[in-house]
Amino acid sequence: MDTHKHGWPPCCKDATLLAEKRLQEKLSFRERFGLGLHLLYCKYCRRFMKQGRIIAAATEQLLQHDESLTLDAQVKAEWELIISQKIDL
Amino acid sequence: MSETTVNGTLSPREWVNRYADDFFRFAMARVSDRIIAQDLVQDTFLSALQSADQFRGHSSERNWLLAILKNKIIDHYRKEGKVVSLGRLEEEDAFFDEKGHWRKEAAPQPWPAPGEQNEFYRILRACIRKLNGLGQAVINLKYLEEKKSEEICKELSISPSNYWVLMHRARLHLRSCLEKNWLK
Repeated sequence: MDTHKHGWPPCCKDATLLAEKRLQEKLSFRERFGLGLHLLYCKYCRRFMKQGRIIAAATEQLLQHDESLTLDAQVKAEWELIISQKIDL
Repeated sequence: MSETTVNGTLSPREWVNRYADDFFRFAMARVSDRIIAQDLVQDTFLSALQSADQFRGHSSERNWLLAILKNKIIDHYRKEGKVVSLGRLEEEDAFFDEKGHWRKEAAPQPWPAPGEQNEFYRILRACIRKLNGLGQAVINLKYLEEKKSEEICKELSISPSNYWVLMHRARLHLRSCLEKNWLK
């Protein structure tokens, strides 16, 4: 967003970035209006935002229930052994 | 198991039971590699044992251990040369042309109603793993740990605008990876 000229209404790149920024902080009136205008005439960016919400919800589901984030019991048993050996030294 | 305490307040024999799972998740969200995450947690416990006499009880045992783990993770980033180099963000743009319009091959296509959910999730998982380290880190911190953007910026030492750009790139990559592999 920093290297190319910012036109108005925003191009697709800037519009999708504004949509991201909007999730974190309040946009200025100019930004808000520009984004709204862009979305009126750009079906690709509308799709990008709609699909983005689907992906975000699915990602949350997936990561919250990710079994690969569970430690093997065997690893834990090894660690307990190592620790107790070190203590008993 | 006996009640061994070092320095009165630490209970190393309980560490694995109390903290291993949490710490492993914490490390996985930041390094996205099982083996590395396991090594980091194991190293944390071993370092903590060695420096147990430095534990003053100013913080809880958990926070003290977590601080050690955080340092291990930062060391790991350093070694890997991953200290949040944002230079790569200005990589050649596969999604937008020089005027900032969608490139023809990257423009979002309509998606059908999701059919086979498991397939969608399987591909999404693979697509998340294909993100670069920093991209995975922001996605994990946001969706796995549900951290606020300010916390993510602080942890990764990036500015808010770096964060939007990173998140924006991650979403662009995820969406396009899903579209390519799921809609085939």
